[in-house]
Amino acid sequence: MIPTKFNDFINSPHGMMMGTRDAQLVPEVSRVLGARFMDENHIKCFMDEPTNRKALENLRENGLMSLVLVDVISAFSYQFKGRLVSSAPMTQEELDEFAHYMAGFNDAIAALWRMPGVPYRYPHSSMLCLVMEVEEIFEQTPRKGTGTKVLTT
Amino acid sequence: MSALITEEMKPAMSGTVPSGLVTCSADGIPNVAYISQVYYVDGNHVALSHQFFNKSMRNIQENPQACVSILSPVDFQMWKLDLRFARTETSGPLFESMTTQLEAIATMMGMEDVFHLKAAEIFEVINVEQVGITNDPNNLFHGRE
Repeated sequence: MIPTKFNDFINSPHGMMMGTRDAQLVPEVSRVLGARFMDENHIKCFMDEPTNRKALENLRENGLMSLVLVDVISAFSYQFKGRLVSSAPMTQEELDEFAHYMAGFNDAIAALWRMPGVPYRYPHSSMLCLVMEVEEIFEQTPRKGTGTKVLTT
Repeated sequence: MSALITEEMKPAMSGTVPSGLVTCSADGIPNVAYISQVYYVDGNHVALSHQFFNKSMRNIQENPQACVSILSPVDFQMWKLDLRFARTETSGPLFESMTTQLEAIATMMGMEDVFHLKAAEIFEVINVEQVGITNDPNNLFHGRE
């Protein structure tokens, strides 16, 4: 179960990266543009298809994914590990959620670097929604003791 | 061997923008973490700052492959670097240079009491993929600021 305290964190305009791996255990890093809490076991996240083909191929092969979310201002960070449940082109509701994320992330980046518009330069055509079943959560804020497991299902 | 790291990529190794590092355990579980430094060593090697990433390094000991993203603070181009672990350094000119850069990053982030370089983890760069920035007019929010 994803503790309810994570709902707002997951839905916030954080920096996000995803890790996958192929059959030879070669890792792949991917940029994620938004995530949403779905229910006590699932979150969804958004990524563009054209620049993430290798990751999507990895997910079709084995489904294993890790997602790290970081508050770009405070560096507060959590990693979610689990499995892909589904991937599909975004619905209108998801496009609205994505637009909300991009606006919020743009504001965060503008506050940090005084450079508005940066997230909109990231490739974001042909967006997909990935649904993830969360199996483990790790605290990853940079400080002594980081890496503590918060949740195991 | 020709250099895989180009001049264009070097600003992305200034430490301005944190990088995403993905490793994988021997039993196949990927791990992703943000790291402060991907430091240029030469045209085919980078050094990663070892501060907190204990799980990442445990994975590297089991499986020496890694993948890291770097992002230019100049034009926001992104590259993915496929890496293979080479060695660890805990002293010497490279370690000292990374320490100095990390202190500057820590000051910028207000984390002087938190960031401490334990080691410089040196990796061979196996492949580079440029992700780039968008000029696609079909992008949903193209040109919006």
